[in-house]
Amino acid sequence: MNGVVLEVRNIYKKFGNIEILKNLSFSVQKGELISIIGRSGCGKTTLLRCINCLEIFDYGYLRVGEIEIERTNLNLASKNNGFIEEIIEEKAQKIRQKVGMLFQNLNLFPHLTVLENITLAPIVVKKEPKEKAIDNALKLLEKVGLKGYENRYPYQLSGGQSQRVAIARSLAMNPEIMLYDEPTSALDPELIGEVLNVMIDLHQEGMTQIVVTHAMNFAKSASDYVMYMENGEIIEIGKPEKIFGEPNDPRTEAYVRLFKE
Amino acid sequence: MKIERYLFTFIFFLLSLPQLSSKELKVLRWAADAESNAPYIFQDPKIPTNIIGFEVDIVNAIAEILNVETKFVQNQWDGLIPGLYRGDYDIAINGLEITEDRKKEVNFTNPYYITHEQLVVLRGVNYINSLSDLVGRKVGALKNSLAERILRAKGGINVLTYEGEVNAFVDMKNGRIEAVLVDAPIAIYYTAVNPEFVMVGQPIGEISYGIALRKQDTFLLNKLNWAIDKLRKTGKLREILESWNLWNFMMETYFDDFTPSNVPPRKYQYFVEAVGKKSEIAERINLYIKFLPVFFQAALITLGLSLLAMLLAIFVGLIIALARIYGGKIISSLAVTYIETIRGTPLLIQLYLIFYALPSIGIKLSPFLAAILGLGLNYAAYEAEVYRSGFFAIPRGQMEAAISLGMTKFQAIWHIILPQAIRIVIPPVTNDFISLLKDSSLVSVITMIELTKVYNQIASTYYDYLGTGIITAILYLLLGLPFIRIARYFERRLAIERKGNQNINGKVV
Ligand SMILES: Nc1ncnc2c1ncn2[C@@H]1O[C@H](COP(=O)(O)OP(=O)(O)O)[C@@H](O)[C@H]1O
Ligand SMILES: [Mg+2]
Repeated sequence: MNGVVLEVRNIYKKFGNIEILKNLSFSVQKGELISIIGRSGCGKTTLLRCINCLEIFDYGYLRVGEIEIERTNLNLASKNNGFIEEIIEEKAQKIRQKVGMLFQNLNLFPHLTVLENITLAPIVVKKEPKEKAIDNALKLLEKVGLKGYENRYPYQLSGGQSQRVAIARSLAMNPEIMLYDEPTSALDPELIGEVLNVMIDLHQEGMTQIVVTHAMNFAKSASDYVMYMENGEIIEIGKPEKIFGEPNDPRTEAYVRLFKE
Repeated sequence: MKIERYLFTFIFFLLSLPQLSSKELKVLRWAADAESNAPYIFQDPKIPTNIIGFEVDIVNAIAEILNVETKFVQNQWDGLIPGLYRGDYDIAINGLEITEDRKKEVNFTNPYYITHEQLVVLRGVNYINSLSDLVGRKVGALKNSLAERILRAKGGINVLTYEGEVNAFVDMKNGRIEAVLVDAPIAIYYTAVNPEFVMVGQPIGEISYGIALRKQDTFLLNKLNWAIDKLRKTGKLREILESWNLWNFMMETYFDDFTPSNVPPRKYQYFVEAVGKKSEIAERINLYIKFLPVFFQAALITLGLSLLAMLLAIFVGLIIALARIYGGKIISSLAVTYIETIRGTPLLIQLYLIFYALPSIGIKLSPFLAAILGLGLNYAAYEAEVYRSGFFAIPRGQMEAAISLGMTKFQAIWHIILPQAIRIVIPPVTNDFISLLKDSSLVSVITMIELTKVYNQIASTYYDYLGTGIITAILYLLLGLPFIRIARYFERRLAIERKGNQNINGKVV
């Protein structure tokens, strides 16, 4: 239990009257790379957004590092209690600082240079001294293979370069977990590799990562565990050989077969 | 004009404050509209910064008798009476006809001048000599004037009303109307320098001009009446009127003074000589050059006023926009109410309210401040909407990216959303500034003398709306030009950034 950096227990999330996430539970050990696969609309993005507290789940328990958010029947009854909501929002913001998230769409800040994109949050949120933030940013740029790009503007970057800068931007906050929501789906095929390689490098350095992906080869070869979701539920979690080889659940089997040909 | 009337009446109710009625008078603050034509109150054709006219002479003569200084306060003619109750000045004298309607709002002194309406036609028209000849014809008159009432009372006349007499004369020249009925002084002066028009027929009606003052200032009223009477007895008033070529048979009767005139109409001749020879192009251009400093000064006022108002609009607009987008239900709906109210009511009325109604609750702003506030708060509503569309032009992902980096909502707005929104809104805001520059001409209604007002003043002195109009238009254009350039520059830059994104990623970031 010591190595568990992320714990999700009995999480539910509704949009309107539709249950999008139904009773999800899993945990992630430090340094693991988890791939989440599943059909479009099954709730993968919503799950990541709940972990990152961009959405607050309706019921359940979430722990990132030492920060816990719990919504039980007790405080659910007082969901409109502003005080409790305030406490939750406070914790949510702390969790966001510990969790880095990379979105499907390219969303670097277009009015800032690459360097400013990376240093803004450390300076503003963590109150890091500027020199230190810049130092760190330059190291991160080197790590994602973009040394010398610090003074470019986002419009001068390719899609793959943009995503790598976005990874560096998240890493600058020194997160405990990195989440990726289909990080390569907006990219031209020849640019996908450069982004995935950064994630593989990070894995080797011991970064905890959760990746929603349709790149099955990547899921198969790079992840420690693969999670298959359907209809807002976790159907199966297992080692990649197991999920892609002989899954327990016929629904998982049916899905992975689509990629075998 | 109707709405203004009601508004003013409403304001009178609010403004029944006791004013400085018994206080010893040291300075006689008097108001008029210096764009009323000769011979009332107008700009000296040779020295545009000087204001002259027979009413100026009368005020000065009264002040001399009362042994007080005078201070001239410029105000729009329509606003002369409301301004009295605002307390900016003590008397209004500007061809104000003593009527029963006006007597309900203000007190009038005894008349200082009595005259009549006069028919004017194009030279060579010989079939119009009396009111009866007008039946079945189109005739021009000033809006809400005695002339209009006389023409309508006659019946069968097609009456067209105008804001200014020059418009009526121009329309007559262009053949739209066949005669104009105006106050005799206007007719005398206009025909003197525009020989294509002539006065015809007998005097029509009777007009008495009086000095208007607040109802409660009865002490001052007595003093003024005493002074006017003294001017009559000493012959000073007659001398003034004669020097302006305005002494007439009605005044003879009123003063019971039928002695022949022996004062030469010096001031009348001065005007005719200065304004009359306008055919010489070179002379005309010389004249314009002489006006330029006055125009420049007014242009500076317009620019300064507009810049300050825009600054206010940009700042207040931002607060309103943020309130509308990010505020809770209540704050947001307050913002919407503000925007809709401001955009749904005329700027003119807003200016009147700020200038004339606020004093009744103890807030009395100088015309300059009132103008900035009026324009600024008005444009703030429009800017708020511009910002809002600017904010919405920014993809949602920007906010989420910032939040997921641990920024608070406020930090995200300040560092991420606002800077981008500002770049998007610079072109439309700059365009709005150019509109504001033009709308600023409206503040002349609250006694500000800016570019359009100066144009009107000079143009009405010379009956020349073309040359001075072109100068004014050029000045507005020059004022706006740098800002148009700024807008274009930012539009281009923005386009490059966005295009760059599209080329590489196939979608706008
Ligand atoms: N903000 C929202 N409001 C309402 N429904 C939503 C919202 N976000 C997602 N959904 C719905 O939730 C379901 C799961 O969406 P999502 O988590 O994006 O799926 P995935 O990422 O697996 O494709 C979809 O049916 C989607 O329409
Ligand atoms: Mg998704």
